Amino acid sequence: MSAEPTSPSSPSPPSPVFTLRPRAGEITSVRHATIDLKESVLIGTSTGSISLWDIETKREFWTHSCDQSVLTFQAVSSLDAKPQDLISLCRQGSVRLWDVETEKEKISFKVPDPGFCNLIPLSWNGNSFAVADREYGQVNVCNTLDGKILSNLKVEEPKSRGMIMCLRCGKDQLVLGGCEDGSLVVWDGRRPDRELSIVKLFTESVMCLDYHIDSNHGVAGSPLKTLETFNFTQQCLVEKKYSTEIRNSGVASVAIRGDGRIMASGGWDYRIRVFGCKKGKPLAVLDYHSGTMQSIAFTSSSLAHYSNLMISGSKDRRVSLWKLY
Amino acid sequence: MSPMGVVLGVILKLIIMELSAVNDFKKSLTFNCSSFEDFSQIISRGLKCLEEVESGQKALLHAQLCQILISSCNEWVAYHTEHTSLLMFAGPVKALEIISSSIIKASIQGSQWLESVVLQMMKNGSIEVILRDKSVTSSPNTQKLLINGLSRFPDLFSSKRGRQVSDEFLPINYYRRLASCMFKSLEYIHSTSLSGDAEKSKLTFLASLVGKVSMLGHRDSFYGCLCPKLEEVTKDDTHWSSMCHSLFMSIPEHQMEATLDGLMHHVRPSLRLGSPLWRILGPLPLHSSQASYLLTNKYVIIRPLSDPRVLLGYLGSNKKLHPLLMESILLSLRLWSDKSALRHMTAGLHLQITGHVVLGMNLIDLSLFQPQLSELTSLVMQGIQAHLQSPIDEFKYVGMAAGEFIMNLLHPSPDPPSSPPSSPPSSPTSSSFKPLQFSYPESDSILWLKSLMRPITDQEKGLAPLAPPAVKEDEKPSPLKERYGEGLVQSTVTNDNDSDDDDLQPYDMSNDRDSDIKPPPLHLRTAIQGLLAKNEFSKHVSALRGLKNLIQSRPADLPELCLELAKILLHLEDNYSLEQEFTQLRHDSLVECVATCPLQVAPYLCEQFYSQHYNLSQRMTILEVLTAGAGKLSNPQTKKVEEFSLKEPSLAPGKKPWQQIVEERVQAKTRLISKGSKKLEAVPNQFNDVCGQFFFPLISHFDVNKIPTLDLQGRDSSLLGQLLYALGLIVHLAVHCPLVPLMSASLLDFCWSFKYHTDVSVRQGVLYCVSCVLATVPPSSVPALMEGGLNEILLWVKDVVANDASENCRHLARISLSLFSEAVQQVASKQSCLICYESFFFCSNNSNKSY
Repeated sequence: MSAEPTSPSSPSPPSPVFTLRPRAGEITSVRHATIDLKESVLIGTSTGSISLWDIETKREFWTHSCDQSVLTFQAVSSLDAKPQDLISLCRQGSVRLWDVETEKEKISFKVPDPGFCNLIPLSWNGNSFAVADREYGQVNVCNTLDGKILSNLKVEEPKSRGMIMCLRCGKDQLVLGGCEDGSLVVWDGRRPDRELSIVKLFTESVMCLDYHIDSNHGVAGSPLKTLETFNFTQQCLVEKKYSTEIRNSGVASVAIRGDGRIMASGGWDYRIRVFGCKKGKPLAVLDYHSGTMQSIAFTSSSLAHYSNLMISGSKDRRVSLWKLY
Repeated sequence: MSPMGVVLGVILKLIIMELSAVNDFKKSLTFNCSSFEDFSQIISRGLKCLEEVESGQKALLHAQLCQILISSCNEWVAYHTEHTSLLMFAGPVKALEIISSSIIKASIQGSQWLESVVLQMMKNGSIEVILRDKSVTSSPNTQKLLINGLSRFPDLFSSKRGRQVSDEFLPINYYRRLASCMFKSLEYIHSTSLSGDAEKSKLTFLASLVGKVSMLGHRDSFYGCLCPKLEEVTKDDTHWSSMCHSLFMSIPEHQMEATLDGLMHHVRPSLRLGSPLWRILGPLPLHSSQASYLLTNKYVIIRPLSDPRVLLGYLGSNKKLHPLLMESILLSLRLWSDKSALRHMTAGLHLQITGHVVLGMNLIDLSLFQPQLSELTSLVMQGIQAHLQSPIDEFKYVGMAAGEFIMNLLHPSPDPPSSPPSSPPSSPTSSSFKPLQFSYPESDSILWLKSLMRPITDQEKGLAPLAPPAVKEDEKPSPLKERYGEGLVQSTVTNDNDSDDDDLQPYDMSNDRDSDIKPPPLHLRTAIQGLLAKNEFSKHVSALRGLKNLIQSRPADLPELCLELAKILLHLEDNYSLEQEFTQLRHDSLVECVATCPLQVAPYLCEQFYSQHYNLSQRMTILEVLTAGAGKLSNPQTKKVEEFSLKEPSLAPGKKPWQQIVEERVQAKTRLISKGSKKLEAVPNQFNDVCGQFFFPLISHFDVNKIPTLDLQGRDSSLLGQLLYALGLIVHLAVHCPLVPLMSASLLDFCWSFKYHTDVSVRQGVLYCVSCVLATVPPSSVPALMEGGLNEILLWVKDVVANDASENCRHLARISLSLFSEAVQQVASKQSCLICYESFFFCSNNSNKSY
């Protein structure tokens, strides 16, 4: 780290406010959602179990099992009149939609997913989601009802870009994707046949990325020792902002908090690092887990008490909740 | 038309004439309705009649009808939404008013019905409409009823329905919903931009609801939802701010404290100009004496807030409030320096007040205090003295830190103070030119104070009356750093319009070390490489740590590599001072090795035990590993070792093998009355096949080759004791094995020569072996053993009981004898052999003699 602002008076890093221990498997995905007025943590594991935990009571109140390691498990706006459903994507490419109320699997189908990229529900079209394809540089926009591919998002030189490693939603109808060659691609959902803008962030592949729409701030991690940040210009072109050095190589997950003040990265060195968003000022190194930090998320609740908690899920089978700043 | 309808019509007309006749209607409802159809008709007829009634009496009549419905409500009403229309007949305000007033009299079903009605009103936005529009036009009495109802619905419903009240009416959920309803109605008021008076009257109603909710103590859920939203919208909208100002200004005096409590605890602390609290509250204390008392007195010295930044940030955020800020600082400073007050304060309160003083002094423009400088100095000096004299260390240290900071702030080191302070004799620095400096330990509270002492950067140029205090000596005031504070210089910056990162204070990051994490090896050969790796700590350790699991997973190349692995492990040295962990890991891995490949590893280890180039501890390890491995093999649970294989991705979902389908069908049609007793499955003792490999090499090599490094009979006798113990244990673990008699015989033979050994541990070992043999051999083979030398040994054992110097030996000998008598009894019960009797009597006679 170039300059550590650690003065002798800085307080020691906090401990997690709570640790959840799901019964099965390494944690692969954590998310937050308000389900049935309950502030919940959505947890997906490598053995295929998905569960909902109430943040208030710290208890599991809903659990189901998929056949394969879970890649994404999150809430989507419902197809019915109900507020939301849950969607899960497994390593074999099977997508399932779950109804929270009846606790049943609603819809299940397969998509040609490479087995490592996440899935993003598209906010501008309630009934669709984007997921990476096994083809180089291609993302499919699928219908949530039956998995039918509605359109393909493609890049200009797919061979050199490699596969899409991770996806995020941007402003309006933008879709952000991190490529195997370390570049960040942006598509406009309305014009799928070629990318809107592309920028090379890393020399290695992009492992994870997050984008905060309100503050126009994005961050990406790779197997290298840096975090790269980016934003959009007026013409929706991506441009690099600043980069922040981290001590040990390998970033497995990044997340920006709902208020856009801080961001966190989970590393292959089992540590969580917290930074200020504006300048990338290093704020804390949280050394608690004993496995790769596979997923990090922040809560955003209308209740201040449960808002802006950090949820971190690790390969060591624990999910911890943190209260920071 | 049914006769009921006629009756109702008549009754309604009666009511119009004489309202007291309502009771009759009630009777007709409760007693005369025999079916749901009747009831519905009565209601619809009632509605029709209501419409016919002249408007003056309509409202009253409607209210009475509803009350009757609510209080005599049965399931017919509760489950039929069409009756809601009766309640809603005169609009939502009236409905809410009726609900609020008659909920106390409601039956249980009635309250359930009301619950659903209220929830529906909240969901479809009627409540918002009431909050923003309708309430204003209604009478004060109605307003009061509405506020009472809205603020207390969770209590009212739960008092009726107890635990059956729905989740929506749990306080946490209800008040959140109420807060969002209120925010929506505020939004509406904001968007319509009314004239001052109309807006004000609407806000007054909302204010009394806010006050009431706060009074009832549901601040967390209510303000937790409302505060962030208000903070957000007031950010750059002055109309919103002024609305919030007048909202909070119209809160009744007696509810002010509860309201401010809620706000103070949920608003984001900030020291910037125009802090969130200022945007919401505005110059409230200048208009309300109660608020002014709370903000300058109660929250300062009586019940301080946990974070002084909230209050001071607010008071410092506008010039109008500066007199109050000074007043509060002076007040807290006076209390801080008061000796007797100090004596009666709790540590927590003291720290909070100190924090307030420190942050206040840090925040305020000291030029404002210029006229009172000498008074301040003497106050601080007094305070320091009082703290130094305090018998409680915590107070003393906090006082030192705070006093040092304030004095150096009042009199920055380069220029002398304007008036010499009346320095008390105990003060260590009577010279006023030197900065005051104490030494004290860094506790949590000191660190917290230090965080408040951090110089506050000048954040909004031109507008900033908050002058930053003197820069500390150790900081070189580079222009960039001075403007943006720390944390900026280190990263490449593109936009510098906002310096938000600076109010985030970093935690200690000394725990950010280079990662020494290596994944455990996946293959035996890499593990062996790791074990042999020199000067590669992480590789070595991860190999050592992962080895046990790796062997357990039984990789295919284990049989060919196990000998090499055992050899390496046996010779492995603790080069990295892992100590306990190293010993444990090596032991576990070796045991796993022996247990998985006993045919190769056990004879090898036995052989190594007698070979030349080992030290005592290695030989000891060999024995331990052999016994632990034998134990592991003979334990039936070790059977459950999962086969190591990558799980093949199962068949496509939806397709199941036919057995599974059949099984599922059978399961579905089988009714289990009880689970039945759990069957224990018999598992063959795995040790039986290989026990010879553990035992015979160990015993037969004993006097084959004499080596200079091992003198079991002489100086290494403790190892001999251990060896005997191991042999005994191995025999015992091989229980029920056909080889046991043979092993027992040779073990007894082996023991024979050591029975008069001078080392106690060896004699103990012999006794242990005898006990093991007696406990293990089948009774039928006892006679044969008797002939083979057990007799003589038992004689010796008896002799030990009588004469041995060691208490332990005597104890063990007694155990052996009792085991022997048990064995003999078993034989006797079978009456299989007479020799046994004889020898037994012979022995017991002898023992009697010896006693």
